[in-house]
Amino acid sequence: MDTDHDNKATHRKDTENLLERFFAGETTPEENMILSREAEAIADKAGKASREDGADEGLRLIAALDGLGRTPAFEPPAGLEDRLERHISRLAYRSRRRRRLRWLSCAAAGALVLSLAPSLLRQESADPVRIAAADPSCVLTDTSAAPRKQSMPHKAVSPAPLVARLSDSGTGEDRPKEKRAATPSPAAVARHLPDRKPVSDPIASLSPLASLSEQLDVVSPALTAAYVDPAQIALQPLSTISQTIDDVYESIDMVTRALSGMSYTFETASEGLALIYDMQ
Amino acid sequence: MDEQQFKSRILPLHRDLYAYALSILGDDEEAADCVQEAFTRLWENRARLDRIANVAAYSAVTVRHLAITMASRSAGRAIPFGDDPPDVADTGPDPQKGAEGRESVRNLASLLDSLPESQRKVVVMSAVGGLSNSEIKEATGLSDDNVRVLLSRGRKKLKILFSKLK
Repeated sequence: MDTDHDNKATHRKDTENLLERFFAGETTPEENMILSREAEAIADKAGKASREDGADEGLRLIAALDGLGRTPAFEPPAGLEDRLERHISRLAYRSRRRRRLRWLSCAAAGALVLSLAPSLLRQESADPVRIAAADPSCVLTDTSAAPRKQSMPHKAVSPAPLVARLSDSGTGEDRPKEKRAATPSPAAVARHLPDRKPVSDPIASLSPLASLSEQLDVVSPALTAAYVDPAQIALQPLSTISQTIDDVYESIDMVTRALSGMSYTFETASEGLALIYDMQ
Repeated sequence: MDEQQFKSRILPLHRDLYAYALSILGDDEEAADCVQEAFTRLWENRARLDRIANVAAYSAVTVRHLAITMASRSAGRAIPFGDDPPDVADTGPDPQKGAEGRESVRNLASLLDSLPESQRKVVVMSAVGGLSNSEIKEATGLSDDNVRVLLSRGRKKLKILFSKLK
């Protein structure tokens, strides 16, 4: 009995301390919540045992303050709920549209890359000797047969003679120096080039499907044209291959930028329409 | 969370959220804009809302942060209490208790008008918006001591006026 009385006294003392800090403007929101719960309890037993002391007066004020947010002064204006509902619908519509546009952009970019890349590769790998001759990075200075300080004319060294020289059986030391410096004739080049096997059509070997045969007929020449002989690639200098890869990357970049521009235009137009819809 | 779930779970919170925003901003239009902006942010984070236990509290915190940011940008405005003592919505199931509660709140709302503007603003921010002193400081641009003194004077004055009504 005494313990219960002590607990109540302690509880009351704590509440009074909190109230003192509340009226000093020092309580935290958590302490305010404790006081709100106390105020609610006081309001519940207000009719049974009313103790008109300072603590109860303070708690009643807190209970009234807690109810302040439910006064009409804080009621939302008419139409706010509809406005917010329309806003949510608009947000959901935008999310769906963005998702669709993102998917379409990816699909379009993929399709463009697939259609551009083979033609670019074919163009670059069509004539490796000519491309190498036109590539300034392939111009080398042959200093093997000349005195060090004597200037030598630059000349284009195509990869084919280089391969021919490398594939020659001699090491170079057992041959006369003037012979090493000479450029092999095209006939010699052709003789040393690896035998080229005819490119087989990979699509032609497949049995055509009933529903896809027409599409395969369309795609087949493109795939055949896109086929690159690995021997040809090996013959090209690294700079040419690197240039080809750069071209492909640049094409992808251009396509991506174009698509993002289109996406932005669509979005702007859609927002304009949404605004017009709102105004109506 | 899809559109329908969002509407069924978040939209009903707009009344409380509006009260929070209004208590901090003190302007109808700004409070409505604040709630709309909060809905935009909640929608953007809707994937996270499914994992949050108390969505109402999370939404209230979102509104509070937005309102404090907006309030700190603009000058303080009066809390819009009308000239007439306002009616109060039902506060509980017990009619007797509800009537007493409504009467107390109605009286308090009219007493708030008698407070100086600066005191009324911080008292409402604390009572309705649930802001801490540091958040009130951030929203109003006042110092810590100013906030504490204004809260203290406002609450003490309200207590005196409130006890005189009894």
